[in-house]
Amino acid sequence: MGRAADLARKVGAVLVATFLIAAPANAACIDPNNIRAEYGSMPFTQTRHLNGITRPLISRGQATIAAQRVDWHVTTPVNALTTITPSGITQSIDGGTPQRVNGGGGDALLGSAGLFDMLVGNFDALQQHYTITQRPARANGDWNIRLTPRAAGMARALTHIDVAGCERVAEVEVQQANGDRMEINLGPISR
Amino acid sequence: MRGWGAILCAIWCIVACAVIGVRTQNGNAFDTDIQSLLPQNALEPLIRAAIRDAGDVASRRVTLLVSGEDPMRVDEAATDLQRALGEVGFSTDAAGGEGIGRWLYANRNALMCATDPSRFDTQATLNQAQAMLYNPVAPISGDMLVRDPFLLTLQLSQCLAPASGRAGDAVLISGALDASAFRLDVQDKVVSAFNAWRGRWPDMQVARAGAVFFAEDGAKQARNEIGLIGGVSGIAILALLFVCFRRPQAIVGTLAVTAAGAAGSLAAALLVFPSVHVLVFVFGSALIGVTSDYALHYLATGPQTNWAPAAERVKRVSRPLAVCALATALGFASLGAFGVEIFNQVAVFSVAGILTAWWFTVTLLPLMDLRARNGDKLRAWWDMLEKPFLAYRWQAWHGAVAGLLVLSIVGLGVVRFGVLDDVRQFQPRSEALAAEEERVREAVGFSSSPSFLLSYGADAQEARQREEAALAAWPDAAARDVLAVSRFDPSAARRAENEAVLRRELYEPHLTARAEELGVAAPNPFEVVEAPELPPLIANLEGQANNAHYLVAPLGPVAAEQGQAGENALIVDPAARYSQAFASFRGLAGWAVGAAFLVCMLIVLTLYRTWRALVVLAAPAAGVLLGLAVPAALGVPLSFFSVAALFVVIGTGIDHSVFLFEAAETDGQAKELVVFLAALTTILSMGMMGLSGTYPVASFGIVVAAGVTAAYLISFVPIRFRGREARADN
Repeated sequence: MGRAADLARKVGAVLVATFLIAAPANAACIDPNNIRAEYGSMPFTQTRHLNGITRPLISRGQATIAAQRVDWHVTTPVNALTTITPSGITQSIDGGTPQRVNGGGGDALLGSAGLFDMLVGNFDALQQHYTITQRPARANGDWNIRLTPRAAGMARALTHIDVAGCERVAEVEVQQANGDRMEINLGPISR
Repeated sequence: MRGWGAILCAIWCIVACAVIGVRTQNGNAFDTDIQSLLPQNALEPLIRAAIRDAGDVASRRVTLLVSGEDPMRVDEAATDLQRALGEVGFSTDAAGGEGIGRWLYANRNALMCATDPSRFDTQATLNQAQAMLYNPVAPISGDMLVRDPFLLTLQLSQCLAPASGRAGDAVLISGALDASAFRLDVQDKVVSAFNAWRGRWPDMQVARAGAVFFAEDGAKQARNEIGLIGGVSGIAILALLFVCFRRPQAIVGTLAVTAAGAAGSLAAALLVFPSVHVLVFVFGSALIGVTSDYALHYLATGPQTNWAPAAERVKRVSRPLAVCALATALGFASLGAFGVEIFNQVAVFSVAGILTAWWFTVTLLPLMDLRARNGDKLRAWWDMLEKPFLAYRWQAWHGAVAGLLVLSIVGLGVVRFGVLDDVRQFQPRSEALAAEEERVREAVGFSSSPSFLLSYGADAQEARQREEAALAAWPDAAARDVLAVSRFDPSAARRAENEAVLRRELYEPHLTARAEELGVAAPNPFEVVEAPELPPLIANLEGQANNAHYLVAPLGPVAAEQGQAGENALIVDPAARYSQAFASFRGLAGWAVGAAFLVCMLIVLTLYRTWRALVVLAAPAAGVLLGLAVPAALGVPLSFFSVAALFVVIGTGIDHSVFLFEAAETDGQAKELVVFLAALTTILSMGMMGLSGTYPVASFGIVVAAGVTAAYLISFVPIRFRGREARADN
């Protein structure tokens, strides 16, 4: 298999993989089975609700998805660029030299089954690590898919991930076992 | 009397076989560690212990990089490989990483990324904490922010913990073995598991780094060499026996003597040493050529005496055999004087083998070589073979040509003389494995030097303070290029200092604002938690020796360039230390060669009680001269191993002279053919060692082969010049 084809497959899967099993949710929305890979840049809002912390941690910025690479650039309230590639994760603060970020010690959102594997798209990985189920469509007609960890070890940290959208993934909600929750809202993509 | 000797010898042979059978059931019986070649008593005990510890920790490390076209299959293959290796005693760093994480959390207010508290950068710490807070992959939780609002644990894990995870298109698997990589059973298990995995995932590419793979490759090479040297020696000896004796008893008898020698040597080595290095067998395989000589000398008395009664035949060879065995055994025993573990083993192995073979020859072999039915025919055949040797007459021009040849060789040797003490050039490394290791280095950006920082003191606290002082004096880039105990578990003084700085510059001015920003009602950053055990990765880097506590800190290439370390701290480059040691031992060994000659001189004078007997030393002296000159002329540099080989040249070289001298002085029986056979078998087996891919073995073999050849040829000279004297049986 060529590398380009592999990359295209990977990038597309976010968003694709989740829905291959699901039936079309709404005639107005695209059939998730037919979602195609899309590269480009999109605004995001990330909100973390942490137990014991009264204020949600809200950050905004621009996510750029390219072949084998995601740049997660937080612009508010800090200027920090996190770059995720197969070779690892780096972080640059205020345009400084990127520093390698070590693995997160068992956090369910890192590694091959993590959130960003999903964003760069790896259908096989998602199927291997998660049970994928279709949930009732939302009021606005968006499809809604739930990923539940298969492995007991992962389930101890991660309860489930809900992914929703119409023409592509627009919302991701990660529910952790300790009650912490993270929501990511993705804006329109621009190339 | 000889009957009891035969019974006791048989019992010893049976016991030896039993010892071998029992000991080889233990996977620890054989050793392949290159460090066993090194002269241990050349180093201070503290440095020696530190080198041992550093080497042990480093040698257990294994890193594999799995890659392929399909990332999903790569993940599956990597998981399978991790599982397969886990079953044979491999633990991944990921497992250890959790332990390090717990340790860093419990000690977060006593540790710092900065190597000196005075270099603590408050603003950088705040910026890093803020960036991590909004990093989508940072594993933070509300509970963590209450106890660690500035995310110091995560910051410490970035600057202190080793890297892991994916690398390039590949999955990186790194970790450590739970037993020495130099144990043959460990190598076999690991490599078998790896090869089985390769069979299951033929489409995966994998690059390996780790001493276990190099050691297994080296052991395989040693096994092949043993097979080659032993096989060729054995075939050559069997062919010679068949041509000369033409009867199966001679072949069986010679094989029995060499087998008894081999069993006695291995059993003694296994009884004395907890594990025997495989290279001992390569050195020891030369014994086949030596011990078979004893059988040859006895068997030759058959055709020479027309199979006289055994007692008479034994009497003819008992004294020269005893002199030969004693001189050769002493030559090999001298190897034990150097404090090199492997030479101690060779000494025990060889002395036991020689004495067992001698014992077997004078007690059991006579029972096996009974009178031949066609004795007259065989005697005539023997005489015919010996005739050309006896017909040969030494002419003056032969001496002139030989002298010219010797002078030429010595002259060329002087011109091309060189030495090699650098241990890094001793062990040939598999090019394929070296290429794989390089791919691992390139992919993960990992690079480590063999050097380490050794810090020591009266106790653990003082040792830590020395290490902290050394690292604080280095530039940041160098100080962070070190895996140091004190970075994870500082001295009590440094802990207090770190905590004071954090309180004064981070918590007191910024905690309230941070808590408000986060919405944390009651931050509790100094909650006391039960301290976990120091992770093994770090705990293995300290030890005690010579009433001192020491710390070993492996250095990366940047840190290794630091020349100074400070008081009670030094940068140790094990290879350089051992190279220096080998150089000094080479010089000492030269003097020891002279001492060995003196010992032989005393033995000869004591046994023969005539000054004339000293002519038997002429041949080994010539052997020593040419043993040094021939390799030098061939461009093979001189090393400690070359000089050590001279002891064997002295020991075996004296044999030929002794038999010829005995023949001339006593029984009058011609010894030319049997001495030729003995020399030829010895030269063949020893010379084969020169083909070894391992420099110590090759240089040892070349010197022995050249030296013994020269000694054999020269052994005739004194007698030829002096002429045969009246013989006892004439």
